[in-house]
Amino acid sequence: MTTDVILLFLGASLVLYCLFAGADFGAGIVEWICRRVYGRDISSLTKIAMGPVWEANHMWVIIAVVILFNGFPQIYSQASIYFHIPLTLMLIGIIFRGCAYTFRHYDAIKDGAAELYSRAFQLASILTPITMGLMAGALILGNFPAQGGDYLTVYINPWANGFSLGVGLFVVSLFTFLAAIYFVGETKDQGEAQVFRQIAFWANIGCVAVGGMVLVLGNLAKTEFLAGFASHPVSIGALGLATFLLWPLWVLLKKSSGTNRIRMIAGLQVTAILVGWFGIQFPVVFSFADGQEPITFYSAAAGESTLRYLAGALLGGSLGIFPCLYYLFHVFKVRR
Amino acid sequence: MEDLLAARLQMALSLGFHIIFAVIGMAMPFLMATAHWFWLRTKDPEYFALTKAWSKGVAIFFATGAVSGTALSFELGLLWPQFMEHAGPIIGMPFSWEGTAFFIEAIAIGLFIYGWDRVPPYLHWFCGVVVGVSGLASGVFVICANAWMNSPTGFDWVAGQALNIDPWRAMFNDRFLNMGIHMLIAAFQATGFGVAGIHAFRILRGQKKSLHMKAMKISIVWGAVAALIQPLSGDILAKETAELQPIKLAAMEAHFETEKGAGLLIGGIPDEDTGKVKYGLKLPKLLSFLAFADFDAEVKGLNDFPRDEWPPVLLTHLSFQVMVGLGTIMALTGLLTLFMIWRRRSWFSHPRYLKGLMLLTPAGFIAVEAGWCVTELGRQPWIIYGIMKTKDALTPMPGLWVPFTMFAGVYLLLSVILVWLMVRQIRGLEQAP
Repeated sequence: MTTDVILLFLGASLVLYCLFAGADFGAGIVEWICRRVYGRDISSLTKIAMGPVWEANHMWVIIAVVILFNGFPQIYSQASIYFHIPLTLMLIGIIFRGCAYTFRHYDAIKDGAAELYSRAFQLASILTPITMGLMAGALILGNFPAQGGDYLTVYINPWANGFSLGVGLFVVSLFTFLAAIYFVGETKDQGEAQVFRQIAFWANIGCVAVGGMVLVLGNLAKTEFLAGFASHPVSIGALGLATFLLWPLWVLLKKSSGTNRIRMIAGLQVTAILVGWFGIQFPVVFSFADGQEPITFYSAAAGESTLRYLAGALLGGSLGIFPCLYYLFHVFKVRR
Repeated sequence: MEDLLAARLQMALSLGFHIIFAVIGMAMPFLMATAHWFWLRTKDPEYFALTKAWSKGVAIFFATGAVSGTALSFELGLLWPQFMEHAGPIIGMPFSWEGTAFFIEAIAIGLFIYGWDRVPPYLHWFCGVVVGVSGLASGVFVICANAWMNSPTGFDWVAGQALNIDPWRAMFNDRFLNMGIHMLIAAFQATGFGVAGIHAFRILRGQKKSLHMKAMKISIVWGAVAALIQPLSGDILAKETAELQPIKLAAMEAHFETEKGAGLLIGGIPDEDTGKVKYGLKLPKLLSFLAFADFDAEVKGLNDFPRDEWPPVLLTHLSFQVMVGLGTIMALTGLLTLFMIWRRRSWFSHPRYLKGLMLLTPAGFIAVEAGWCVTELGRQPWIIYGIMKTKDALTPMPGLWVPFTMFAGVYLLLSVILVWLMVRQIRGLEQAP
């Protein structure tokens, strides 16, 4: 029971991280696309749209990590071992991205340095989500060696494969899509809004195409993959919802109104995709290639006293965080 | 490079980098809120310019601290998975609270930096204070975890497993309070002196004297008060260490032989193999007094402990000397400063005073780093004192020199950029009309 409450918080943190930090990573990618494809510099929009909320956007991952190592320490330690390389790359990406973004905006003197910060920010925005997708892909495939093995088997192969890379690219398209949708409602320039609608549309097509490719690759790598989706009512329902929502989304993207509705639909789609993944995965986190019992949230859960204190801290923390977060978004995103 | 060494260096480097930003993130908002308060009360535009400039500094340091802190929350596992697997359920609670405090800090900083014309003035000021208060809370929560590593409580260790876990007792362990207080004071001391030193330098250079003088006065008052309380906090902490971690105290003092009426060693180069100290000055009976408030108390020496449980004596001792030495200089400067305010002496613009402050710019930060070296090195070879050795917590991942080199490169690059950015911030402030 306590475990389930905590898992709800973990799931919610991951979804919120993907939505808010996802849009934030996507902002860097959209900035890059705008520069490369449309020859536009939208860095001032990134500042206005992301500035007040970007710190808060990234806090969700801290909450998720804390839940993992406090409540499910074995999952945290196993992930730290198997994902040493992608996690290290992800961290370096996060460090570069956060610093470049902040340095660019607070630099007291505007000159060529801003261009360098932009490059670092955009590049890190593209590469970091890929590392996240690599790890998600590895968890879905579940080819971890329980008995250990050589360097390649333990530290590389679980995540370095076509399927995981596909998931990485899927995450990139998804984040680009989220950011473009978010920007549509943030810009005051009609031409720019049109550009964002276009990017959102093509990123969405990219999600569908890469997503389809991932499903095929998944089925090639692991025969029960599609069957797994089909046999979980939650997963099939969630994926069905995400697919069905494509239709109103595309209709609204063609029109030039309905910003809030588009945001709702996009958020719902991303949530549905994540829920679909949780559906086929839950409660297993690490499954092993050599037939060992998988590590699940329940097998890895800490003792009852730890979990009760953690649940208390999460509930108490929510009481502190949500009113403040509401006020933040109210001041900058609603009351304008 | 040996994996254990690489992992320890990476951890030391990451913590050493992060602590600078944590310290500034804890104390700087209060300096900023002080300037902001004067602006709200006096409407003197210099206070406004100062608040804005400092708030940019806060934002830059907060962001760097946030990303390096995010990295740390993963690095603990990347390097020490065995430690986290056992310690997580026991000491995870303060981290979950720290997550909350950090989150609120992030929200408050967004409201403060971007809220000048959107949030009512005094609520806006209060947001700045919230940044500082939640920063301090985060600091205390992290110290709770570190104090637990030095004084592990709230569980029974049976056959390599923690049973009967009591997270509350673990969080509020025997050492969190005094370690926490010592760290918070250090944050104000380091930041106060650091900021005052930079502004003193600009006054000496003849730039915008009146503005820099205001900035220097605000920051040195915070720093001076902290520097005067700090020795008291340090004394309490030393007595606690003498009681709870006698081997750490012995290493700090390079005290090899157990004796009654032990002398206090000033300076000196200890040699672990011979158990002798070269050079250095010994003040008779003072160590016994400082550790136990009794000139004839017995102080345990390193030789009473198994050789393989000794911390690295030389480094621990030297770090301790550096911390105490700099702390003393800052306390004396603080005394002088408060005297000047009390007797209304106008020595603030005296070149010698300004030069002194300028020289002390990095003093507090060096002392903080040295102090952390004392507590972390002094705990070795244990990662959880008396329970788990550092080498047993290490990840099985080979080739750890690679991530170490990568992180070293990243942090070096960032340090260079940050210094350059700060120079540009000051130039921006001075070039403004």
